[in-house]
Amino acid sequence: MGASLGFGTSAVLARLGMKTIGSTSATTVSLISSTVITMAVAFIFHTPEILALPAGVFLWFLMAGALNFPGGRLMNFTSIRLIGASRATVVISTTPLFATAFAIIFTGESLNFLIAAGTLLIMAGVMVVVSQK
Amino acid sequence: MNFVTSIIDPNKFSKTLAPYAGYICAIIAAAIYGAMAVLAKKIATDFASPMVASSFSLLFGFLITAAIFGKNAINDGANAQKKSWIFVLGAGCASAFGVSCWYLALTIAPVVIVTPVIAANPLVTIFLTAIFLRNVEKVTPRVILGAGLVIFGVVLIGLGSN
Repeated sequence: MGASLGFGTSAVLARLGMKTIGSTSATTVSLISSTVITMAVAFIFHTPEILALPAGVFLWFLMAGALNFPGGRLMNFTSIRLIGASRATVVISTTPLFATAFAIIFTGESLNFLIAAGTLLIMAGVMVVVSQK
Repeated sequence: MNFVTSIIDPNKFSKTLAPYAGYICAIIAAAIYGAMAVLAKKIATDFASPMVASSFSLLFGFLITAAIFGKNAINDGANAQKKSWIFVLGAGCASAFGVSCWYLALTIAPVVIVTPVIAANPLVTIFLTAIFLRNVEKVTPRVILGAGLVIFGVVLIGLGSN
């Protein structure tokens, strides 16, 4: 429930903040607080693991960070600014659909009835939101 | 860089696509987050715990974003209201709180329970929008219906994936 509350609140606060700030600036500044908090939690609970990490692993972190934040969060905030928090959040919540598609394509996971039915429902939900004038 | 500018600035979209710019951005975000889920699974399985991976990814993500867009933030700083910055910092805090709770939940509860609860986050946004943004955007029955369908679909995919 805390995770759901956190993600849900973030979109509304971003929308309020972007009344006078562009999405690129909002993305940059929001990453400051996100980074400070998660780094603090990581060091509190995982210091021995962090100190033992091999150098090569940081390249994976770099790749994930480069994709997720200048890409994903910027697009997320831009969509919130353009179409509003409620509509943007509904469309962005289709993430598991893409995750499943990538997993099927790249890691060989199989498609089953539940995934197919879920996919159709997600597409229907997005069409309902997008088709509104 | 021109591509990024055209994506985040609806004035640079073609007239046909301009009304859908926000939806296109949202779908790109969902696709990136979807790809990230696959990448994150690889990292968390083979290299580091999810919280450590998330924190360092955020650190690198911030450094890259600041290098590309930091100048915009400095320029906006002079014109923007102070409370806007506070809201945006709050958005970052809320997002970090969400990620931390997500990882904590995954360590103490099965994925089949955690996934549907987290999938409900659009309902939280809709509820908060109706309260705090009622003068800015309208929550319509279609948005609520769409959110319900998407959440139900996400739950089915979560069940199907497990």
